[in-house]
Amino acid sequence: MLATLKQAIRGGNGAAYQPATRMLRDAQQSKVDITPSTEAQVGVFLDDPAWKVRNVGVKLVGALRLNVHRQRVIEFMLDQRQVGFIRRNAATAIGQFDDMPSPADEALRKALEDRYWEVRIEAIKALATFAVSSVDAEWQAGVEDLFADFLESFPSKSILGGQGTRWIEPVFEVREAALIALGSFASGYRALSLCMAVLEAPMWKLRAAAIEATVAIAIRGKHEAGPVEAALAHLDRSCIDMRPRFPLNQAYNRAMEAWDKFAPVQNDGGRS
Amino acid sequence: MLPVIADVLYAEDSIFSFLRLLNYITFRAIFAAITAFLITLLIGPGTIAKLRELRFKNSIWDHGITSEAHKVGVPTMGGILILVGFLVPVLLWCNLLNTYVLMTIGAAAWFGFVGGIDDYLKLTKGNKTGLSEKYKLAAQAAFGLLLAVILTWSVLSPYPEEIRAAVYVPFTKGAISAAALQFVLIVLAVMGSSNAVNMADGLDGLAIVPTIFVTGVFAVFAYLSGNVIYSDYLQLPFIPGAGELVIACAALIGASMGFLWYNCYPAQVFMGDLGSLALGGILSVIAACIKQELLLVIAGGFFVMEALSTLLQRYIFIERLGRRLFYRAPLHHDLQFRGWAEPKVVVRLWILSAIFALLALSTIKLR
Repeated sequence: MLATLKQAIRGGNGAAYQPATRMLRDAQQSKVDITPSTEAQVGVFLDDPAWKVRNVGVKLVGALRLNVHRQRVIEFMLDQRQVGFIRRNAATAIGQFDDMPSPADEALRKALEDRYWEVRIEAIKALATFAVSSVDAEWQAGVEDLFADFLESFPSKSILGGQGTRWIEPVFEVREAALIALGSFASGYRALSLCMAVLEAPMWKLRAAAIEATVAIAIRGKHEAGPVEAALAHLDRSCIDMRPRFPLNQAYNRAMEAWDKFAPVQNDGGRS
Repeated sequence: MLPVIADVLYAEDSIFSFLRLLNYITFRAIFAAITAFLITLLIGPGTIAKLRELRFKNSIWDHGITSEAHKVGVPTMGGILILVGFLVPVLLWCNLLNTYVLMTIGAAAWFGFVGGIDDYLKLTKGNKTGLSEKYKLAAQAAFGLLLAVILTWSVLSPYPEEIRAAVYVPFTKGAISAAALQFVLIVLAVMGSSNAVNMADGLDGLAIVPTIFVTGVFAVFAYLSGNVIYSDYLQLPFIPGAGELVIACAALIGASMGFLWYNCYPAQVFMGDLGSLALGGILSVIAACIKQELLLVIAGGFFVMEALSTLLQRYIFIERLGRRLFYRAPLHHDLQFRGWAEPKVVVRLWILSAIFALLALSTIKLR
């Protein structure tokens, strides 16, 4: 609390913010070479007293996949003294690496209990990314169970060891992320039945995510078709959102698509 | 203008005897509203076409909400419709020697000018944020200070001596006599109101209908405060000449309805900062003139919610604490992010603003 207050009073972007954001922009456009001096520079950003500079530093570690700073980013993600955006971006950065060593795995599991919801979402996404490509079936099943917890109730201390009180994930976006994640790799019966239960959720965004997750898991796990079909048949398809359809825009887009194919040839004098 | 002409021409037995109707505030208010609506409606298509021709088109901010994509290219700066629709009937139907009316015209002109520059910079100079916040706040503060000086400084103040320093608090009887507080409240009302309407102007028709509700509330209060019998009975301050503001309110309602004709979902035109700053400025001046600055917070509760959600999210949470409080800000974007369709968000927030307006009206008796 005190740290948060100090942070609030301190504010400001920090002198290194502009160079850091410039470097990040270049990194995102693959214009930065990874040299010892780049690594040292990112290290300086990570040590900066201004949180906004550290935040960009964390993003740089992910964008450039700087292995030398990976442990530091893992520590940032778990450090509750860091602001929410840093912890969130640290989770995203960890997910950007090609591999996931055991400390990162453990840290992401712990991050699923972070008090800031955006961190929980990014941790889910990062774990799901690795789960999709993982060949370790046992590990994959463990992650599947972990995500299923978000749809049922959340055993708050079980991940860290021991049994804690169970609570329902309060943020719909986290539950939605868990559903999408399960849909991308899960195959177990528990995940399937929990996704089917969410088909009755009052919030349409959850129902929408649950439809795709249910079908994907049922197909992947070769589950019995009857119950899935019955659940989908009774689905409440009413929705309080809709996308407007603008016929003029559609006509314009179709015409432009055709034009884009024609114009380069015409401008080229018909040569290409 | 018409009241002055009527004064000159009116004689009981002449063919101009019908001009006595112009003595009635209600008559002039009704026709001001109708005139404003018709003017806005008639000049709408031409203005929209001109704005399109000038390439004053909207480009959207990315809120992660895909249904907003259709708003790209819709002409903005449509606030010019509201301003013309408001100013012409005011010039026509109001007594232009009335100080309160002149202040309202001044607010429309000044805030329209500031908002217009802001929009112009955004649209033509490729400057995404337009006029810098510093300059915008300075312009609002300058107007607020000028208004506060005029209303509270004895030499210039149009108020009777006994109510000049009085601050009226909703739901309480009597008034607090505190000139300094009155001064500060006026400045805050002007700055807060213009910014709050600006922040609420994010979806088709969202800002304009609550503006109509709030203006309606102030029309009622202006009518009561301008009438010696009603104001005495309801323990409101009696402000001679305040009744003239009813006509300005009616003109604003008419112009807003005319603008809504084109701005309702899916919008053909957006008001831009030109419209939103002007609307907020006019409302704050009307509230200040009838000594109901604090009532603005209740009547415009919807605008307060929109402004608070933005300020908390942007300046406290994102800038200082490095995390979000809401999924998105202002409030209407948060609701969209939760999966509500744009028309649903808009209509539900209209309902909410109607409730706030009713609550504000209840303070007439609840005190």
